[in-house]
Amino acid sequence: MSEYNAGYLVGIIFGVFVMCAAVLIFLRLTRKEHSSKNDYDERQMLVRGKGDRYAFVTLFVYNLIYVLFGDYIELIAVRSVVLFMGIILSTWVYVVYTVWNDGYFSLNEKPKSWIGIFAAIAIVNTINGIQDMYYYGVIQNGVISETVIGLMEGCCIFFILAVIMAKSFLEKREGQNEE
Amino acid sequence: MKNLRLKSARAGLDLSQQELAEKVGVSRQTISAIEKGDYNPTINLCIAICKALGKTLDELFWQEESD
Repeated sequence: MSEYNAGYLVGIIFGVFVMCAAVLIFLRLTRKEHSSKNDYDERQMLVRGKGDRYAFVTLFVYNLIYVLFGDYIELIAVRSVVLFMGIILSTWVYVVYTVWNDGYFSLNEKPKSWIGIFAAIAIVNTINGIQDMYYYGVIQNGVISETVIGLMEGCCIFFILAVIMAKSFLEKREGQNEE
Repeated sequence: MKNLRLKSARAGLDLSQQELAEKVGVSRQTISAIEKGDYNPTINLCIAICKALGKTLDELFWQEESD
């Protein structure tokens, strides 16, 4: 094995190790109790099931539209962007529906801890997206290129973040009124 | 239909929605949804709530014509 390959392998192993450590720390920080599994009550399970269904239908309809009008759509954007947008859209439908109906976070998770994490992910994706667009351009060969994907992800996560924050605010107010 | 009997039984024991939710192992929003009549709980959850509040199923969940 050459020196370059050995270094590469060590880098991958180190990267996996760091990721595992980060995930463990993250799980510990975002949970109320030190439980390793997510617990959802019966109403939350129903909400999550409905969210799954809405997300599936969204992706199905989106893909159907793409099958019917794909030739025209690809005059505007490359295929990978169009397909990725469907995934983003259905993920967005699932997360927004479950967050809004209190089914996204389990009983042993603290929604407030997630706000910072979502914000960090959104910022990183947006910056990456803007950098890509700046260096490589949005339009390539007359159509929107993959360089917009980072910004699409960033915007999607910012939307989700806004919904989580709005829901947390309403939840706090409802909790105060209930007492 | 709102479940005012559940709300008054909970208030009678001076429990908040959060405290009752923790006793029966559900989220506060689920208790709130049951009280508002937005969610119909399973029989298992009804029994757990009854035990936590020291009431019978009839007292908390049976709907009379007049309700």
